[in-house]
Amino acid sequence: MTSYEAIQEAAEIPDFYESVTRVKELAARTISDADKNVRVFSTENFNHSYFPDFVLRWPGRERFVFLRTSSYAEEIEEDVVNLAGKHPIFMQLSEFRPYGDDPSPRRALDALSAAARSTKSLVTSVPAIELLDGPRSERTGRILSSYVMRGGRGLVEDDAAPALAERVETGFNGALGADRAPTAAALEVLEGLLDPPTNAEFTHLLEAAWISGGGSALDFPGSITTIGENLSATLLAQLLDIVPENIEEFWNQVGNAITIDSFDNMDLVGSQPRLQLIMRTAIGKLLAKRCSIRRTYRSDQEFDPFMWQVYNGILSLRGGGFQAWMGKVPSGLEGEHSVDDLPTLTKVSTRSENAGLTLTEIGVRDAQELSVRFSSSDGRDIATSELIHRVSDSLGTSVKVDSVTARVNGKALRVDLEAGFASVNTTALVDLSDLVWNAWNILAETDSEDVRVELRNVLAVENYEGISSSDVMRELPAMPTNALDAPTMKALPSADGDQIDE
Amino acid sequence: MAGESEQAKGRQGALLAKLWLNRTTRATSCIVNPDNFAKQKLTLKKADYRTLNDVFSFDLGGRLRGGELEGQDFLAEVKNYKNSSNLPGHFRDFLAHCYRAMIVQHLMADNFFWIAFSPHTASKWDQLANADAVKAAVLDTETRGINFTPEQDPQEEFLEEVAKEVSNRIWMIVLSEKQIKHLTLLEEHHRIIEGHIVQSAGEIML
Repeated sequence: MTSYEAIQEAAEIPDFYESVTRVKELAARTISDADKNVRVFSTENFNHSYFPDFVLRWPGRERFVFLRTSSYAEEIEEDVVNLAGKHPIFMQLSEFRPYGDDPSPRRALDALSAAARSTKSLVTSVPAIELLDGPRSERTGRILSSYVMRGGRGLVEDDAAPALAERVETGFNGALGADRAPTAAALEVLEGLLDPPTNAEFTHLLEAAWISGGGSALDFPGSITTIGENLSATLLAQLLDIVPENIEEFWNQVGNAITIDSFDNMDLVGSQPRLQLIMRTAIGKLLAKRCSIRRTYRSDQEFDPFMWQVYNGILSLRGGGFQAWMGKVPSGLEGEHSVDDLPTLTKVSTRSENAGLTLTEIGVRDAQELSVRFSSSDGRDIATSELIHRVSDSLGTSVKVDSVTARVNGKALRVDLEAGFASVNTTALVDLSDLVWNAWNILAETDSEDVRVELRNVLAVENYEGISSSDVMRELPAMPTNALDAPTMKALPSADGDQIDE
Repeated sequence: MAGESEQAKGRQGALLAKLWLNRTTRATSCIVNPDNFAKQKLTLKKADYRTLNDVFSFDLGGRLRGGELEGQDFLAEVKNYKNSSNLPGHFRDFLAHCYRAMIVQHLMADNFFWIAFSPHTASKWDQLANADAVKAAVLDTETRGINFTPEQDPQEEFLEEVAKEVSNRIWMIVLSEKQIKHLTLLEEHHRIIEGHIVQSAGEIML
């Protein structure tokens, strides 16, 4: 921690330039530690009446910092008034002391606090900024200090900083447990500490914690209720921007408020620990309608663990030499990805059996583009049926599977193996994990049981058995018993419109 | 700040001078005594140093920007008096202080600013800070302890070339509050320079 003693030590370096440089280094490090996302630019000025010592820059945002050597609240108040339009940060390099014969600086400090608050300026000190991120605010301290850097206002005194930070920490923990009183107390602190737009952002953060903790949006003690059950892309981006990855519980819980649209316009590639934490929970609730599977060709593919990614706002899962996109493959990536050659009937049958899928229809075609489709009329799996085995044995590799329909959550998932694309035929959605598990196992060459186990884990697909019997009963009309005997085979129009005789 | 003491009035004058220096845009930094940062740099020991009180201090210090002054530092004495009053005596002390700063090779002694809100001894204005005046101030019995110990012979120890250099480095500045308020850059012009300075800021890589 940077103490006043450390600052004074720097101040006493005899060479003026060296001394100023050292003090500015200490202050810049404090700012940088307070907000890892800020870029700190230093001017050649020091303790200047009008020109800032630092310019803090965030994307689309800028704030000036004025270092102050004066210990008098009265003088800082004059600066606050003179520079009101800039809404800057004034950072004290020494403790406040009374002016003249005043026994205490309290009255002047109260006036300074009011002036700073009304002008959306922040008056604080190097130690106070560091105290916001102290031992009593381990989870939210860094977040709070970053918000204070961006939109803090009023006076944050050294001895008040730890208490402010602790109330916010308690409130955040309270929000995670949907506990109203501490959440409301934190919101009150934040309203006084942050300018309205920044306060709104932090309130969103608490609201996200509240919702992800199981609280209802309507019961949230703050005045802003815009998250709902579905986290917006804007708020998720802010959370990703400010909440460190080490708050694992938070990110796991944010997963509860995620929808497939929460990633709009985002790019989250690479290891993305926070996304992996989000998805650990979100995978249990995310719904989707379609996905594309592609074989990947990457330089880092030798060791290719499963990882969630977002590119152009589209969620995807990469690993095991393939990548699944929850939608179409983003343009520009075609060169790195390809669809495998059509598999044989035996191969699809084996893949389905290994993954425990329920295939209700399989379409094959030969080299002359003649097509045949096998289907079960009762929703039963045909991949492991006697008919398919016989056909497979007799035709060998002369026919390839070009389409499959799998039963997923009681709905028909149509898989086009030529396009490497799977989609639900209705307007309804299915569980994203089941969608990907089915599409991946049909479209991707996954010979390794280890890879399948890894995929099963990342998708949280435990002992997948396709569709449960209760789903069948719910989704399908009652069938006459004699209709459940065997799959049927019928000739389909071929690509040129011919029809095969039975 | 009601009911101001002499000390408070002096501080106010120093702050006004700092404001003006900053408004010229030619001072990158300005520190004010007795702020913690400034105290050590602006306080010097007298040659005849026996107790903690045997020190003197300048009111302001800082660094200049641009032209031939780029990177040079300054030490300043500020007198917030309405009229000449006892300014002549203070000015004599100032000259002796500047000489002492030169002798001890103070790192900020590139320029010495005398900043007052009233002129004094105006009929001899052109001679007030010449080498002879510096010599007279340094050897004055009232100020002798600033530069010499009792054991030293001031006449023998005095260095003419140092006095000449002190004289060269002295700036005589008379300010008025109206001047500070109105004869400085307009806010819109100031903003242009601010923009340039902000754009020129270098990113700190920690």
